[in-house]
Amino acid sequence: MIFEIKLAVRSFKNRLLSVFVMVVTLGLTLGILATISQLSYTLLLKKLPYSHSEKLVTINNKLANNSMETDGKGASIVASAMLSQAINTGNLSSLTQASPIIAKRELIQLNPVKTLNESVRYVNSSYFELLSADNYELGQLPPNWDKGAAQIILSYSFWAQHYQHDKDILGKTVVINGLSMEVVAVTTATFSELEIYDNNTAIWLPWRNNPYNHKQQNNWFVTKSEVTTLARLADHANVEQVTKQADHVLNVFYQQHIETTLAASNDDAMTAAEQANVRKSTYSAVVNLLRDRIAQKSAPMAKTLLISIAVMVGIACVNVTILLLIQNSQRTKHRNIYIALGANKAQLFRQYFIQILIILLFSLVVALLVNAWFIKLLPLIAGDYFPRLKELSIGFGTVSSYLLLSLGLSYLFANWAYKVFHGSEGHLFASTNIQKSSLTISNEGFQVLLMLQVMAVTIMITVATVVIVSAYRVINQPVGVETQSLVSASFKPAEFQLDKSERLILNERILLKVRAHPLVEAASLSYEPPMLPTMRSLFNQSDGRFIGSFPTNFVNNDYFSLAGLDVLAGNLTLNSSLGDDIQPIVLSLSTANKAYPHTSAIGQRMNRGANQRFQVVAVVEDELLPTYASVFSNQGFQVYLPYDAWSSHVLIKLRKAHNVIGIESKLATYIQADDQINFAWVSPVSSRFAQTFINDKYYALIALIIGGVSIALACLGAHAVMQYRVYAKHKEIAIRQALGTRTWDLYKMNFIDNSSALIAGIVAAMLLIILMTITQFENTHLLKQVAVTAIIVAPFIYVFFQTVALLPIVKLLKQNPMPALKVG
Amino acid sequence: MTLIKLSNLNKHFHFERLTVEALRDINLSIDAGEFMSIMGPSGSGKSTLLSIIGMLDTPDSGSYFFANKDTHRLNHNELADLRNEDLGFVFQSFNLLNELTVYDNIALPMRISRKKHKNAYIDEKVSGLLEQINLTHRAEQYPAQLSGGQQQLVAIARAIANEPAVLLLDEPTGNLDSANGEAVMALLQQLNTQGVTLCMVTHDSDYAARASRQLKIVDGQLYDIE
Repeated sequence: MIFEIKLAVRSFKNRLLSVFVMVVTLGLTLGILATISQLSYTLLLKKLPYSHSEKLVTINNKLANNSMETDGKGASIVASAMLSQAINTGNLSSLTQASPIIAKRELIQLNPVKTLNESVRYVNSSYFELLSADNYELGQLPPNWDKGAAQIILSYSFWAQHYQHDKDILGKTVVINGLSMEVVAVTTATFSELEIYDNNTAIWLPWRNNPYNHKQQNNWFVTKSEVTTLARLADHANVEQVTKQADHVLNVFYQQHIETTLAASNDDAMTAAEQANVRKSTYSAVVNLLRDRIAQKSAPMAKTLLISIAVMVGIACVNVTILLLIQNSQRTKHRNIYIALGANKAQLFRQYFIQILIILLFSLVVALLVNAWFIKLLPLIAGDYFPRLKELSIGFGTVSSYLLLSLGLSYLFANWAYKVFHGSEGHLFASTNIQKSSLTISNEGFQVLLMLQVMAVTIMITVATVVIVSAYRVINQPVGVETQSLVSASFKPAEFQLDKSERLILNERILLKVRAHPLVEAASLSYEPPMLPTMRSLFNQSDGRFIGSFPTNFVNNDYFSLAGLDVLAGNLTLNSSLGDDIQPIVLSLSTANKAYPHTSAIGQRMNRGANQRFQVVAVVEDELLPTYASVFSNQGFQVYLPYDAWSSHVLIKLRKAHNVIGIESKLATYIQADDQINFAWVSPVSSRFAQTFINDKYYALIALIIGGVSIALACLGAHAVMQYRVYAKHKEIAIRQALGTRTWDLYKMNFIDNSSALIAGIVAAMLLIILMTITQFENTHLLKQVAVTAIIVAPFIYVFFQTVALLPIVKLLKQNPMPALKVG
Repeated sequence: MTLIKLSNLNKHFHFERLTVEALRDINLSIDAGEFMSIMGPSGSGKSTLLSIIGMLDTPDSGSYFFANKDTHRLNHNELADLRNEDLGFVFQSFNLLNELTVYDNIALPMRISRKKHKNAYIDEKVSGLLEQINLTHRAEQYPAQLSGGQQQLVAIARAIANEPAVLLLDEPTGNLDSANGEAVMALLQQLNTQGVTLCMVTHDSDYAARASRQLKIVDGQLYDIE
């Protein structure tokens, strides 16, 4: 065995480049495969690092369309409360262990730029590695956590900044935002979340501590609310049972809720048919294993990556096989001598086996390095996209899997190589045609091999090109006029005056003021669309802060056009003119016609829910608020709020020479200096959009890396197969040289010989690409992009292969042909 | 004692639509200790015959007995053992392994052998053979560093390392000048006197004449030269 290892190593010394290529190819692809396999395993199969992890579930309530959310409390919130109650003491308590481990509800972020976001977060402390997790261990919630107890979790940076790293802060009472709260935990500096969030400035509160909840309890913003309960199932319970029971709990609740609401509303605007439609709506429960829920967003990506990498490894193996084939076809004499000296099948097999095994073991080292590097790289490039990356590691399992894979591949190759080269042992004798002894793969076999390689390269280059182009577009997503020099300034609704003309004058003044700044090149005014009544009170708080999170496109031209709002009928009036308990409302034209077909809508009173009373003050064209209408699905009874819910934004294009970050504060100071302009904030538009595109960028970046590696591998394979092809004909080329064939004619011969397989491979690849795109993607734009790329790429592939084929023949023609013609 | 016995042996090669009769009805007996030479023009079937005697190829029909064993009934491993222990090959183009030193090339049959020779035995044996061919000082050199004659001597030393009963020689002097050719022939004759059976294919009538028995092969048929 040692002798055979020495022999294999010596033979490698003469083929260093080839061995290097094989080792790198295998090492790179297997290293990436190992990383992606670990990632997929962690996301899809691995248990969470908690006790009873396979019994932890998340329970969500999902509201069907046509539902009613107009009771002012928010049906989904109430439904959630019902669900929690059921889990604790009701119908679900037999299926769940004790109480919900922790209820997921909104936490409050106190932002330095005075923004408060209401959001829904997990606060599972052990997952987030809180400094002091004792109070928040699974199943061990602090007492009265859901009764509005004044407890708070501080973010690391907030703790560091405001409490100077006070190690004894736990248990102390602090005053934040006018509320006294006991600090129960501090997040670590590396605190990570399931979702992207500004962790460094976040303070995490138990949800009942939300000071806005009790103040605004009649005005929940429920449309975007999602309440998830984290529960531990009882030992005998399963997900299906809980789903069924939770569905039942929710539907019983919701039907009661609908009837109560309809009875209380006494709503003239709601026809019997509409009421019947509302009664049809249902709540359903969605129960997921916590493990699946955490990986929900990233699992498809992990699967796609796994398949892509498996294909890459397949191609890498083909490439390495071709290279080994070249090596061994050059060593047929060696093998035949062994046979003549009495080596049996096992000994020959062992030689092939050891040869490939050594290469695989070398590549193991490379693979482990690549694996380790990727484990470090992944959190940097996709840390926000893939959860649980900290759990990735190289362990015994990885190394042993790799060794098993190496042994398996070595066995397959050795077996195959033995069969391929079997039967050439008679060719040692002097008078036998030496050409046959150097090669046993038929010309037809070569054509197929070449065709397959061309197909693989064409597909990979086409896909990689599409990916790279798409990735480039995503990464350089244009936003507005010029991404890097756009900032947006917000002005509070309170700034607006009573009537339309005054409001426009004031807006114009804001615009002029902003434009007058020496660093501003251009500025345009836009408006936040008015909000639904349920959202209205999230604005205009007594402390003037903005609450509520909803998608807003700051560069949507539709919004700009809103500046010229035309009121079709009615007048925009102040709240005060209507009385304290009646709010003004603007109806869309279609809604007005539907609700009041025989009379003017202006001045009509509308009741929605027990506590909401409106008076129609104006009617506007439906088309004025197209984006707004798409955000909210309550199309049956579309209402728009009047002027006082509007806020305005100025989109500012800065002069190119200036840095956005520095200008922010200057501009803010400048605008705020004007007493008459009630200023809210300035921030770069790019940072607002960065978050939107961040997942796409991760996709793009990973795809770019894989695409690049794929192309490199494909090119290596192309080089190998063409080199092999030329080598196979070296005897013929030598004879032709001896017979006086001109060099150019030899090139031509090679060129023509390759053409048929190349063209066949390219055509087959293009058909395959288009077929795959048609069947896999409905996106016609992508289909066009792929088809056009394939057509553009095809001639390049052809030229590439012909060029690659030229290199070995040029090298061969520089050599003396005599050795190839001599016997032996 | 008959060591090799071929009876009614035939071998065909098929090239697309063309069939070539490489060997036709060959009957041949080789006794132990015999020195036999085979001559014949190119394409007459010399190498085919040698590859069948060397058990690297099989006949289409007829029988081949080696030391009273019917080779047709032996499996691949048994044939490999026979090649390793009882047969030695010497080729015109030497066919030494370029990655191995002279020492390792000669030791190769012993390392391949299923007898699991100990290193001390291999060392002693190789040293003796190197001494016999006067190349002890070249033991650690590689084949490319030797002259053609020296390479052929090493090839012969490798062929006799396992003390085979028969040496199959395919143009052993074909690539050598006359001086080296003589040296090789002297060594072969010496081995023959020690009892090794020699079966040599050659184009050189002078060397062929040194054999105790001369055969000629023409169009796949074997004739004795009186």
